[in-house]
Amino acid sequence: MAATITTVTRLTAAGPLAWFRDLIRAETVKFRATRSTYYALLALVVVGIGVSALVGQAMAARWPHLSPLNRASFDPLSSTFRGFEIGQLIIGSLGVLMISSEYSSGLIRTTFAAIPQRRSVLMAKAVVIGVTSLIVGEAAAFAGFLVSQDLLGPTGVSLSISSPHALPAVASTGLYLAVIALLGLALGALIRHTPGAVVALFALVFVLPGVISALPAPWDTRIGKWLPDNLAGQLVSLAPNPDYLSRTSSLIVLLAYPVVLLTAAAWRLGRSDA
Amino acid sequence: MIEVSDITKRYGTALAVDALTFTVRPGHVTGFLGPNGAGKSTTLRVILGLDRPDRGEATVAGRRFGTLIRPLHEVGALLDAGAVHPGRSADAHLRSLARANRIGPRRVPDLLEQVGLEQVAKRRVGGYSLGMKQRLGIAAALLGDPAVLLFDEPVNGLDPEGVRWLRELLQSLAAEGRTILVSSHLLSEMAQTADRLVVIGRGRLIADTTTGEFIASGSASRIVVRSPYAGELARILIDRGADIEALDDGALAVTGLPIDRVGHLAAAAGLELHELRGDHASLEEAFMQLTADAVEYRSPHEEPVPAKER
Repeated sequence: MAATITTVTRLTAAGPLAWFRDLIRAETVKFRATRSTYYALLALVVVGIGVSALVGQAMAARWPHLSPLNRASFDPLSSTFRGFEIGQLIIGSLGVLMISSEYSSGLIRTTFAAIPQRRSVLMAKAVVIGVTSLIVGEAAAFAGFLVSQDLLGPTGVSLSISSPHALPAVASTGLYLAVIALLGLALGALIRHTPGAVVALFALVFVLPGVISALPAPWDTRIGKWLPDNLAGQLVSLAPNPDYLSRTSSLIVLLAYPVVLLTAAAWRLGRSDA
Repeated sequence: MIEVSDITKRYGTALAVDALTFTVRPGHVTGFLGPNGAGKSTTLRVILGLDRPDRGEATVAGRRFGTLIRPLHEVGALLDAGAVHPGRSADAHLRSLARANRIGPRRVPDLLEQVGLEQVAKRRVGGYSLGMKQRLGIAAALLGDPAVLLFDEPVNGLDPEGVRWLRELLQSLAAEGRTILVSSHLLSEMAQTADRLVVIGRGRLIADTTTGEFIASGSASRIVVRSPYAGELARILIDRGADIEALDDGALAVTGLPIDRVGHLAAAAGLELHELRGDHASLEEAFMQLTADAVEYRSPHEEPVPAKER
């Protein structure tokens, strides 16, 4: 019909893999063309490293005045990653915005009118935010570790990256940030509303651990051991809580979180009106 | 070619589209006309696979939209001019859509120039006027050079120069053999742009005809004549070449004869008249009349349905 006048360059048609790569590229264009992306990633790095450094410095300053018991209970590994407890909310919110901003602006309808394969759009978004947060998260966790351990030097309990569990803990922190970003994306797709999804994420990673830990035993640990925050705690502690899941199980459960929530989100995207 | 067959769509208990069937053919600008809330946008969303109809099916070029891979090459749509992330530039918005559909990157600056946005291409869309957003939406619709184009109220926010530009654009696209569906609630605008009309009210089809016929049927002056001898009068008038329509209240609507001729013929036949008047409905009046009827004839007993998740 309209083939008579065609000014469009139709690149060679390609297989499903090339098609999905195009979706990832399209999402990358959007991701990179938004200021909030840079603000959020910068904030993650600054807060993550900065707060970890402050914790290290404060501990080093208090160290001479601490009782032996307090010194013994100090975990120089997990304290390195304190800054990422706040940082996770930043990267999680970026994950939420990845899709909730499309709902709030109405862009989602333009997106789905250009790519009717909604689940693939979600997966492409997951790849972009997942890979970005993993890379930035790993780098920030590593830098945070080095800075924080350097400041802990005077205590004599500081660690090097070759210390036992140090490298896995750094790696787990970056991975955890990617998991939280993906949870944010899934919650954004499920709730479709930026504040609602951010509150849900906040409740899951911040509020719930506190509430559950206040439950009478054994329910505090029985439920608590499944929460993302405590799963991550197992992975970054020198001495994991014996009542919680093992490190390996914690890692598996942690990775299952985004899989389950993204599956639920994909299911919802597929069946409801855009 | 767009085919809408027997679509029904409810939002909760509200019936948005009710057993709607129509076909949009290539080579024409087809106006999709109805008052606000008539179900135009819902129908367009169903055609684009964004909303799932409770019943019926819509196809574009014989296929359901949801089954199309890289659909911008076949179907372009402007749904809502505001449907752009306000923090991104027009350039980034179009590049992303082009990427997903394997459209060469050269197309983006070309189109931005064609719609007159090249000066502001790198600026954030949040600062655009409604008219500029409409132009961006039109550029997005044209991105893949599709054979089928849907525009939802594209005239909103355009200045008179922009309206004329859009009208010429739509007509030239149709002249290239494309299928163009343009929704509007303004008959006067559509009368100048569209050569075919699909008219809906309260989600139901009111008319599917050429613009000329729609205007002729609705607004061309007709004569209303009332007589106790309506049957005899009708025969006489038909013999002289008139078209007769019996109105509900027993009067006759006469077209094809001037009013003085009708009076003369009645007098010559000795037929008593109780009313003889010209009836000049304007386009908008005809439209209001037709859509009001659609409301009246709507089934009064809607079955309540369980609230459905939107």
